[in-house]
Amino acid sequence: MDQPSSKPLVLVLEDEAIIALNLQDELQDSGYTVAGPFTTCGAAFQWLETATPDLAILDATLKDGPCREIALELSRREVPFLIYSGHRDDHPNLAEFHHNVWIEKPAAPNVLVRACRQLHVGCD
Amino acid sequence: MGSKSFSHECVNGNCFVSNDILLPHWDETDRLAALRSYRILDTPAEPEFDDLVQLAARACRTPIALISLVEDRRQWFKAEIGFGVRETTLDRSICLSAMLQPGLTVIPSLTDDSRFTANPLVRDEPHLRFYAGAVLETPEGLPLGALCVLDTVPRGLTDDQAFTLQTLARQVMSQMELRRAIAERDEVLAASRRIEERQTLLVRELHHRVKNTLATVQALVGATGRSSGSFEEFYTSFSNRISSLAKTHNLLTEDYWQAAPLRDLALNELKPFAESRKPRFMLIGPQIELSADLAVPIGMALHELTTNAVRHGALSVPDGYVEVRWDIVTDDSGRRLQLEWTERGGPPARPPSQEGFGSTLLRRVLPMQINADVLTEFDAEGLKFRLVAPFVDRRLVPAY
Repeated sequence: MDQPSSKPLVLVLEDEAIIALNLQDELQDSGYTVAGPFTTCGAAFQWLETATPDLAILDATLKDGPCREIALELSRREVPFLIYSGHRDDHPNLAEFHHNVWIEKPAAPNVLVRACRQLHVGCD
Repeated sequence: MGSKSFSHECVNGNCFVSNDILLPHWDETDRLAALRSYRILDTPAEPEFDDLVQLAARACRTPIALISLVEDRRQWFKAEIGFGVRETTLDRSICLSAMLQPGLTVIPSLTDDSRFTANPLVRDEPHLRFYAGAVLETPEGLPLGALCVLDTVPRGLTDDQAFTLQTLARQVMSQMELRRAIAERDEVLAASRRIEERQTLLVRELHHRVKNTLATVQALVGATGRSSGSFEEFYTSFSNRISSLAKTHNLLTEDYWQAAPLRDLALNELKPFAESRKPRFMLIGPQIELSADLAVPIGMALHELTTNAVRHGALSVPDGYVEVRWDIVTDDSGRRLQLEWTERGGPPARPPSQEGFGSTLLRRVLPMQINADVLTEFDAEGLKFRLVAPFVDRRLVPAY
């Protein structure tokens, strides 16, 4: 999992493939390296066993359940993340992350990229 | 009630129930349906009914009292005192005969009545000798059984006892009517709860689908934009993708189960070629309904394949045609959907010089979205695309 030190590594957890791939393209165009995109929490966990990203974009609900455990693990490692999802009221089991950055779907790519830059300052 | 027709002589004595069969105005199927509609058979004892047999036994001064309901092969006792069992076979039933008479049936001496001398309960233990039963009759006049009192010595009933037994029989029916009304109300409530649940599910699904669709459309803008040379090209490809998505959603929404037939998904794309005198496409496969999870990506794949065939492949020349074959196969890992797109009679297929959204969709989106194994072959005879994906038969709405 070698990462070029100049480009911040962003983990993308999103189970809508078209959205995920577009996100990947947008992030790469904006100078990020993308880990993933992962479509399940299981796959993201497997990757996290051997690596830690600089930041993460998490969809609230994946095919194998809410992203809660991943969000907890990232918090433990002090990795900043944002949640990219429908309305936050849809996710009572993610209430503890309501103070995190939530971006409502769909958001313009520059909104997401700007939010990433704010989460991970000094990547330019 | 029929009980009013009960004649005075019978109360005190020696009037045996005659053998002349009253022709019933009901049939047994209706009678059994009515009995079952009370949903009382095989329910536990309830104090309301226990009290009524206690009262009957006490009023008639008999050791035994029963609320007997006659089913097709047994009589079952909702309440009993002095008898010790909850049901017997019909060959032991006296109520079966009593039930066929209107009002009250009194048999002062069972051993003197040829219909009952062979009855095991009369011949052997507990040597029943006396029977009096008031028919339990629905408001529609269907007999369900009897409230009866029994004794082991021959005897009769006084007028007061006969009156009480018939009144209590009507009370039994009132209790049964009440519980049926409650059961029916509960069923109506449960049904409306189920309808509400379905509504909630559908609204949630719709909300989810709208959000997802908007996010997908937004991603499509990006992806189409990156692979378009001009605004006109972008505008045409993008609009066509959106209308294809819309058609898939039409199919999903029209269906009660919120599923779309695979055949119709293919027809959505290939319909413009249906009018041609020469057949331009063949759809070969069983009737398969796809849930939204599969229908949306597969609808998009069929759109990209058709668009490509029209621009570069078999549908770009008059003699070319497309064969779409599908099936469900079962292997160790479960059921799998196989889909094959084969083009013939057109120009030789060549890999695209740069990856557009169409090939991204087939090559990267499908594996990621629906765990599909995909294979694209650029044959001299035309393009061949093959997909194998887990077939998830997820039903969104419950069946009623």
